[in-house]
Amino acid sequence: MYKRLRIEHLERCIGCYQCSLACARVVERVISLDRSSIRVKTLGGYSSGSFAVVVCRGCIDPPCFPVCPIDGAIKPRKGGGVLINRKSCDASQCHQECVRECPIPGAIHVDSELNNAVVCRQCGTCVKHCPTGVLIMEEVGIKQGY
Amino acid sequence: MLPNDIIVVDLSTESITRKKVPDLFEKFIGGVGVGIHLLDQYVPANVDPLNSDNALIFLRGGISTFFPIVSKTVALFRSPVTGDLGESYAGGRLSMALLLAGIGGIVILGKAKKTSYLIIEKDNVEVKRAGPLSYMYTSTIGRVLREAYPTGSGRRSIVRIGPAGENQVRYGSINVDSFRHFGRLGGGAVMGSKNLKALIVIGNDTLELNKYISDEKEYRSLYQKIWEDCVKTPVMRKYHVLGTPENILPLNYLKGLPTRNFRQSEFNYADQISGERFVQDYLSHRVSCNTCPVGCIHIASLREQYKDSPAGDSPADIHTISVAYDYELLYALGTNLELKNPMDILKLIELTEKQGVDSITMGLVLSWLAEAQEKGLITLDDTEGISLRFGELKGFMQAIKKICYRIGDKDARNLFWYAGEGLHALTKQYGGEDYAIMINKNPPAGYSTGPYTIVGHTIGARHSHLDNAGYSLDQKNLTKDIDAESAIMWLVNEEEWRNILNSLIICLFAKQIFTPSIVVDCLHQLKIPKSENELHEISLSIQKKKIEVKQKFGFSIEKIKYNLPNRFYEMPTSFGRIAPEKIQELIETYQYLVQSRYGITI
Repeated sequence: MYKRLRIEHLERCIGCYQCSLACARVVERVISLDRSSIRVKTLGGYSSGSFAVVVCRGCIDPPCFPVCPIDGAIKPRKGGGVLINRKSCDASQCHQECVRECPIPGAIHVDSELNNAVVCRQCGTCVKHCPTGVLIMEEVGIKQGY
Repeated sequence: MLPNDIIVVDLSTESITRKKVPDLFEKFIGGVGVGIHLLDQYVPANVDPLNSDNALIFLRGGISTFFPIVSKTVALFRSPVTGDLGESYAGGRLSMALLLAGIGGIVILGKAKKTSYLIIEKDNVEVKRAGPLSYMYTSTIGRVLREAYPTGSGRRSIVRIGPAGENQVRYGSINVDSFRHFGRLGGGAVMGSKNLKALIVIGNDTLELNKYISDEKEYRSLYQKIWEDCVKTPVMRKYHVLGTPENILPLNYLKGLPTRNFRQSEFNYADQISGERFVQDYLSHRVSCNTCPVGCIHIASLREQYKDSPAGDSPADIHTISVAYDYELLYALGTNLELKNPMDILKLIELTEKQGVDSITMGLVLSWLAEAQEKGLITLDDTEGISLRFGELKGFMQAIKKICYRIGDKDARNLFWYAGEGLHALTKQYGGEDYAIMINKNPPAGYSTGPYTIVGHTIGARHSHLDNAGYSLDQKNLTKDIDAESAIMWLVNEEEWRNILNSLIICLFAKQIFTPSIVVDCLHQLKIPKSENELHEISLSIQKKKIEVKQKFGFSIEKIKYNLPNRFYEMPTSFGRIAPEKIQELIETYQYLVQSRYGITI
């Protein structure tokens, strides 16, 4: 059964950045927030106690896929979400249609150095590094609110 | 080597230069090791700490962000509190933002003609006018600058001062990302003296592991080990569950909890303000510094009813504010002032937070004022009718505002003006030295545990409990006696090793995780080969430099050895009363050790 990332308990987030840094370190092999596929930001500063976790929701029918004008740059992933072909994807050859089409701002973004779209691959690395259980991997097909 | 450029900003001329100091980073790793040498280079001996010739230096650690909980930044300056070494640490996002802005640190020189702020990104450093931001509370300016730079969301750190720093209250602090601080020794006053209201550091860079790491597989496994030590072992549980206020009950039990301006070491109402009580009744949520999976920052909800609404008073006139609480705040603004209602303490914390002033120093200034008024040393005329009494919130709230707004000036100095100068200035003007709780003009942290906390604060380079953990030696020593030489050696060894941890810069809460062998492994992964012996040599060399810098700025342990406040010898401690001769013997042992160990006469 395929799994995808789900933000199960956003209210537990303590803003430690372990998810972002783990994604960058393990998946992208960099130290970076820019190239991480999962981002944390405060909503109104730390004093608000509210955080947003910005990441691809692993759509079964991803709106970012059909709008891409470059052949082979993006393809749907079995079980939800998309996979980017870094060799084909070239943000200088398009108008970042994928970024614009996604209704979640920042869930897919363009890395300024790579000129590539960066988006979650649903690998679950971030889940293993979250100390408070904000994130889980869920089996695809569950239609539960979040 | 990591991107370690130092950005040198001269606010007088608005010149911005990038300086490379690879030798310093190679030799001293980063953090305080590099910073102490920069401070020595940039600040001449006879500079007034609040003159434009003082420097304000921020350095990130040598392995910042590459490992969990390596999250801190050091600020160095000549201290307007002690007159000598200003060294203070803060967490938040700053060290990560500096790393990902591609720099090792910032040196701020000169004085801006008008109130300014700095924006620092990878390829862009700018001095911007901050006129409308003047005298904003630390909380307000945080919100304004977040809105001004929305693109940095999640990747920026906002470092700022409040009215206290701008008004040159000598113990003004620097706020980092709302809840962390370069709290001690007056960095905020130095920043204010430079007309610098804030810095925004935005970290947009990406560092390729294969360029900086010797073996990625080993690196990931070491990272994982440290992460698990932080999250899954009992070592860090204290900080995760109750946070630092866990100390309240054990210290109270051991008679080591300073109360009522250090007249008592037990607080009758400790149960009401304990870490356990706060978690049960007041904790709203926890937050964390960047890269730290522990989340020790405990935030309480301060729920207040307000009055005099134009619509008429109503029970629904309620507002709620988030206030971060820690042990030192509960001591300085709580037990020390005999406040037993957690809401009262939270109100004082919130006020010092937004004014941008060091809460420990403010707590000890307030407790001195209360005792001085009780003893008739200062009158209601002196306090402009404000009644300062232990256990009563109102007068303390009024006094904090008067002190931070610096009412009075050089021509019309009043009590609150002197209070803004600190305890030393107050006692010079009014007397009451016996119960002015300070060591080298710096009020201590909250431990009346015994002789070693006093000696630790006295011999530590920044006169902090975090220099050498004297309080911990007191607690270890409760069950066995230890001779003076071994005790001093323990404190000195502790301080030297912490120089290494403060060069990396890890959070000291995790010092049990970062053993010498783990530190060697971490450095090895970042292609910084250092053996444990080499680290020891570096730690000695940093300590020697610190002592030299202190001496250059005029510090003399001889001057304070016989001038500690009498209250230290009157207060009950875990050991009972402490004899002055005991403290003097220990300090003399230290002086002898400094001579033999570093070749310096102090």
